[in-house]
Amino acid sequence: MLDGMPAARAAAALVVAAIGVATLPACGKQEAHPTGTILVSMADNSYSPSIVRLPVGGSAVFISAGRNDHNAVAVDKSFSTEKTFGNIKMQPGDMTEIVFPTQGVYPFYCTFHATPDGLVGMVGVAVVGDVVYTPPTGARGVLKPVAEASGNTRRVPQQYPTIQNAIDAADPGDLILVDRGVYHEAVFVTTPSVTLRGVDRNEVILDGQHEVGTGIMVGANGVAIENMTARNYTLNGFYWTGVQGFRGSYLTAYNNGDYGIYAFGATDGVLEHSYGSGSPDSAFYVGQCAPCRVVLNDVVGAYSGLGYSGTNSSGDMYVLNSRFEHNRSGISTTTFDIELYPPGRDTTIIGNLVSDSGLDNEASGFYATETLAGNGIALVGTHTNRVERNYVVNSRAHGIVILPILDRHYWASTHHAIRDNVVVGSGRADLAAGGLGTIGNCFSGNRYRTSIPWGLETLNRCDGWRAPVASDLSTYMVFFGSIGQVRAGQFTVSDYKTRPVPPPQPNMPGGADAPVHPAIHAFAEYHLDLASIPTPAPPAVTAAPHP
Amino acid sequence: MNPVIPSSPSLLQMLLGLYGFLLPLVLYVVWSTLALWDLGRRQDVKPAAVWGWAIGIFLLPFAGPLAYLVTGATTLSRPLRLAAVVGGAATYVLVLALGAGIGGIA
Repeated sequence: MLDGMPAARAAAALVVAAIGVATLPACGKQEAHPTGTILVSMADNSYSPSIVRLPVGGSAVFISAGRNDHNAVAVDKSFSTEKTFGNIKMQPGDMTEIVFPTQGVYPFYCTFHATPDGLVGMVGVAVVGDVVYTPPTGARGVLKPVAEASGNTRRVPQQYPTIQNAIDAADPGDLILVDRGVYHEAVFVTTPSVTLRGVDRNEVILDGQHEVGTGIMVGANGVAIENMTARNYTLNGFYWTGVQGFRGSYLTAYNNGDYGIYAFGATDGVLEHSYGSGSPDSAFYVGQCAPCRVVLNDVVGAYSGLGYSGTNSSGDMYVLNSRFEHNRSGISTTTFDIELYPPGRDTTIIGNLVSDSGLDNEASGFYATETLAGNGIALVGTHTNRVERNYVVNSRAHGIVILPILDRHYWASTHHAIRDNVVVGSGRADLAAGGLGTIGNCFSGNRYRTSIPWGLETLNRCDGWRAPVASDLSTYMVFFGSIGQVRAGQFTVSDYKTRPVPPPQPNMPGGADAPVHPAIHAFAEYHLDLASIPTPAPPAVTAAPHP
Repeated sequence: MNPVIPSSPSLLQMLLGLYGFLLPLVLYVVWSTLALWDLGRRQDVKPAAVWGWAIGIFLLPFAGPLAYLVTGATTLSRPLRLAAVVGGAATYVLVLALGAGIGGIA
């Protein structure tokens, strides 16, 4: 059929055909049926997430992410990574995909690090389809969350030697008050509606010593963590997963090996007045939620792969009044097939100061953050984000950029509104939109100097007529180029273990005596006043752009 | 917030959006190149006129080369001029009309 066609036309036809193949599966599919693939990391020695919820026919990709070998084998032997991967040992970096065709509850375990009954050690459970699953509860039965404080205070170490002891003894509504000290713990919170509070944010320190996975992991609803620091964990500082209702206030998380402050599959939460730095992935992460109903307010994210990252955070997500500085990229909303609820959408980003993104190698990072490095605010394969009154300065590549992403599907990035931002000092363009299908995005009232394509704001106004000058291909080629560079190993990031220690951070007003309020309705009770948020002032001293 | 998830653009919308972006650039390059090429081949114009047309072609994007191709060109055949000028413009209008019809290309 291509015989006789001029070479250029034949090539063009092939390109169009290739685009068509990459595009068609996404068309009309993603709205009704969220794709059902979820990433399960096997670190030392736990699964994350440990409760894997999937639709019937969905799949889990198990990736070995620690320093030891791991695997995942069903207690009823219905599946095993040995069958799909070909070896009972999965070494760090190995991955394999397992499909779950039948509805049901499938406990699984690591044959090296758990008992074969799937009860003790490195264990997880796959919950497939629309089935009721209640996690094992122990002797106390199912504890119900409460909205009001109980008035009880349990003190660590005065009454309980460890934080975990106090948590396990606590009833919903209790306050666990942790005194000054360095705690080498990995706390797992299964008691709902407790408040975990340090008496001094800078002197109550959980320290993983680069050996322990996560400082505090919360698997119960309505848990608040306040006024303390987590550092030097191989994975995360503070982590809520699979919960409804959570709050993190006046927290500091630095030099943790994956995320600083992390909410995955968690809804109805607030993360505020907190500081995260030195995480190779992101300082703050809220992902896989639809709708999220999560507010990030007045936080600082620094020296990380990303300051804030939201993958498949799909609806009612707010990033407000915060500062993101010296990250590889400042703020990113992303869509991936590897998590539930794609595409990401409806993230409101207002009043943030984003500076020095990807400019130097002071930030931690890893291969996945490097493909997007150098952008202040990146909206990647997502929809209907609102980006307003942010101050974006000194970005290596783009100040605000809109891009599609090609995962298993092609996810276009559309219908974002970019208004009244100040965007200056970007290496390639202050405003940019690239790739096929990058449409429906509007720009009004921004202060900027350069845009790619030319006329991006003038011809795509939020309140006027629009011309088909919505994106160009060069910005996407830059994206592809950086993927190539990353694959070739051509990038430099700093070791997360050695990033700067943050200066002392402000304590929670009232400290130990502040009122106790369980976080079960944290989002609903949060007063969102978007209209009054001002554009932040520029940073006092910005780093000079590197040559 | 927006309760309706906007669907990803269709392949046709993507292509029309791409053409809508690229065609004006292509037409500008083609029209000015044709005009300058013809101007350089003509023996019947005085140097002052050559300067006048060249400045017009450079300084007035679209209008300059179009004016030359419609009124001045002599070495180019009429069908070629018609195809380049009317055909090119009509293609862009067609892309815009199709885009407006199916929506979502801008």
